[in-house]
Amino acid sequence: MDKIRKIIHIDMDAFYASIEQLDNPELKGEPVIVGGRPDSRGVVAACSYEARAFGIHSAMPSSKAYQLCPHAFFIRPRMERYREMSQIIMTIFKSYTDVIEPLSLDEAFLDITDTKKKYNSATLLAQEICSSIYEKTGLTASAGVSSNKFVAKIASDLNKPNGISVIPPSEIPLFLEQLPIGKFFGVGKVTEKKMHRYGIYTGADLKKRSSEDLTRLFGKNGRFYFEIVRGIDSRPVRTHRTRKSIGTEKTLGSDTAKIDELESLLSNAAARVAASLMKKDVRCKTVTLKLRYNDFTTITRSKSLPQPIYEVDDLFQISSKLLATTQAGKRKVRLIGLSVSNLLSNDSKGPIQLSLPFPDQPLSSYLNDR
Amino acid sequence: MTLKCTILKNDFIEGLNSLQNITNKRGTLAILSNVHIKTTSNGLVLTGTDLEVGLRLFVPADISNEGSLTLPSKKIFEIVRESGSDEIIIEEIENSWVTIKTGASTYNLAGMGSEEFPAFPEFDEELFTSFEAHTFLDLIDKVIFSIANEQENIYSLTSVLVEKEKKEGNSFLKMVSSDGHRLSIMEKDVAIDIDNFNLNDITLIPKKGIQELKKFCENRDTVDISFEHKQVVIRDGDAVMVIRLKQGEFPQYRAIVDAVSLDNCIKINRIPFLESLKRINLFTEDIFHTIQLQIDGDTMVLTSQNADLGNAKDEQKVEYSGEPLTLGFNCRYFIETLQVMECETVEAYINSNNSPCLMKSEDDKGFVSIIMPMQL
Repeated sequence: MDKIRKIIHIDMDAFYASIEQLDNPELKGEPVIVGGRPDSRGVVAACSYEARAFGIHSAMPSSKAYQLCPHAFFIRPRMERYREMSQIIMTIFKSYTDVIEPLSLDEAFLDITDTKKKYNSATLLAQEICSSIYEKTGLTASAGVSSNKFVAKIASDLNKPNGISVIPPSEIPLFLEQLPIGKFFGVGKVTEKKMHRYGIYTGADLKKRSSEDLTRLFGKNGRFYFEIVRGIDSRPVRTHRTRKSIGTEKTLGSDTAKIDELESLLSNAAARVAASLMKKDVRCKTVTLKLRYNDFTTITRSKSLPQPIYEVDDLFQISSKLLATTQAGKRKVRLIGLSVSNLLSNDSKGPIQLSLPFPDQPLSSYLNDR
Repeated sequence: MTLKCTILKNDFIEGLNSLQNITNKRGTLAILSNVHIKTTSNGLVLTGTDLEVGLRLFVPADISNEGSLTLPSKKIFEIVRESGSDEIIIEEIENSWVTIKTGASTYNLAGMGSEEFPAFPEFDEELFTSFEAHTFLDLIDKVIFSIANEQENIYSLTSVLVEKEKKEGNSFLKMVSSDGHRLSIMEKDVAIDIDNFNLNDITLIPKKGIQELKKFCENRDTVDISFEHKQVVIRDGDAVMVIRLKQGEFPQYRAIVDAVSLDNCIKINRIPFLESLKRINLFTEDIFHTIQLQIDGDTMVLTSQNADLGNAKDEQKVEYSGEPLTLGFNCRYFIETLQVMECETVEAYINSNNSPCLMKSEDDKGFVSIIMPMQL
């Protein structure tokens, strides 16, 4: 790719919660939590900035959010409405470029290198897109502009909410050198800690390491970190990207053979996965549990379902059944993970086979009330 | 003693054939792929088991030397099937090796000692009740198609539920199956006393067991059946099959039957409807076999779409006076139900596009099928 690309990452500000505030003016300026009820196992799918001030964030159990802010408004998600709004936003994007990679209902990459508009100043276009979104929907968005996806995505977060930041190619090296290591793409909490242990706190620290060095420390990801800190990210904006799976895993502080401890971790994992499914607006048909015993043998157990699911209770119910088929409780476990695959988009309105409403089968009754 | 015998091909192949499904299961103990052979004074007792289903058969043979051993079930079956001669001679040499002679062919085949072969389950001789095989077969046929597959379901619906009931002095035997989307119930007045049947707890026969029971009944006129606490035993002369029953629960199917209101009835000619469904099914998508039924007055329009092929439409005359309905269904579910029914006119009860559809008929006594629609 010789030509310098122009990538915009658009990220709606507290999308679901903002729509609720828009549709119900009484909620303006109030802490709004979209997600499960506080007395359920549900999680926060999204929350308004007012709620974030209380330390509430998405994927947090709703019960915890309630403790932090009892007077918050808890609202059940209205996915239909969010999808409708998302459609309006996608239509705006399409008037600028056909190269769009939606990451979820409220987030997308746009490659505007060859924009449909006459002028092609990325900064101006990003401003125009954001104000167009505000005009058509009354919602605000933040945008990041750069020459690759990785930097554009970090940039959109810098002046959030309702702000734009532009990192031109010439500024990328300095920008990345100053960036805390945890903000780098592909660096989660675990890798962040590991980086810290090796004295890598910023992009500059990372840049000092050789490719071989990083490969030795981080395996095949090492090469990726080596490139990305040099601003090398040639991943194209993919218009037909479909995610194959969503998952989360956790290495335990200390190995455990206690089944209730594992179940509680599984409950958290189910909540995170459920929040992620909701954000991506998909359901899953396969649930996979991963366990690593303390002798480092790793096993996975999967269950494929007749009907797609997305609710935290269903995820938890199925994954704990899977847990019961393992040696957890007898052997010590050092890592537990939960992932879902066979993802189906909610808006692809395929036919849905209803289940018999057996009175003693909670899941089947749920499957009937789509 | 080392075994030596002569068997007629036709006798032997019939016995070995019945054992094939039981003995050729993968991933179990090696010896379970073998068939156990033991001589009696005038023949051989063949036994196979997968630890869930056990089958013991007798085949007549000339015994020169008594003995017992086990041979690979599939291989011995193939040898006998391909045999050019009507007579098969088996002779044990040593260490469970046998020489098999059929006409001009000679095979040396490695067997395994019979000591490791699991003992055939014991059963109570006193508890049998004699049935006409077709009575029992009819119960099985009416429910076997809607048992859930192992992969498909998160509930333990991979078995058939068996119940007995006494109504006005008559004994009824009932089988129920469901895959979570549909439910089939068959109840039959068995016209004999089945007080001996231990069916007081939830009694579940696993799918594999039901399939083997069906095969057992298919070739016979009368069978003796006994439901013990943990197993069901079926016998015909020297042939005995023992099936381990499954522990577990079955959902409260009665609540669903009771919940369907029998107000809104569509009467349809069964055979023309079945044929129409088969035509429409040619154009359904593979997994869900989705069809749409539009019922308005005395006309039912059936339609299906397939992304690669196109679409299909068919029409049926029905008897109906309710509100017009537009329903989505898995076509296969209807086909399978209508295929096991025997009536001329089937009565279908359905109230909306997301409520259960119940089908029955005066001429299909004791049979009820409930199918959940699809949301289009």
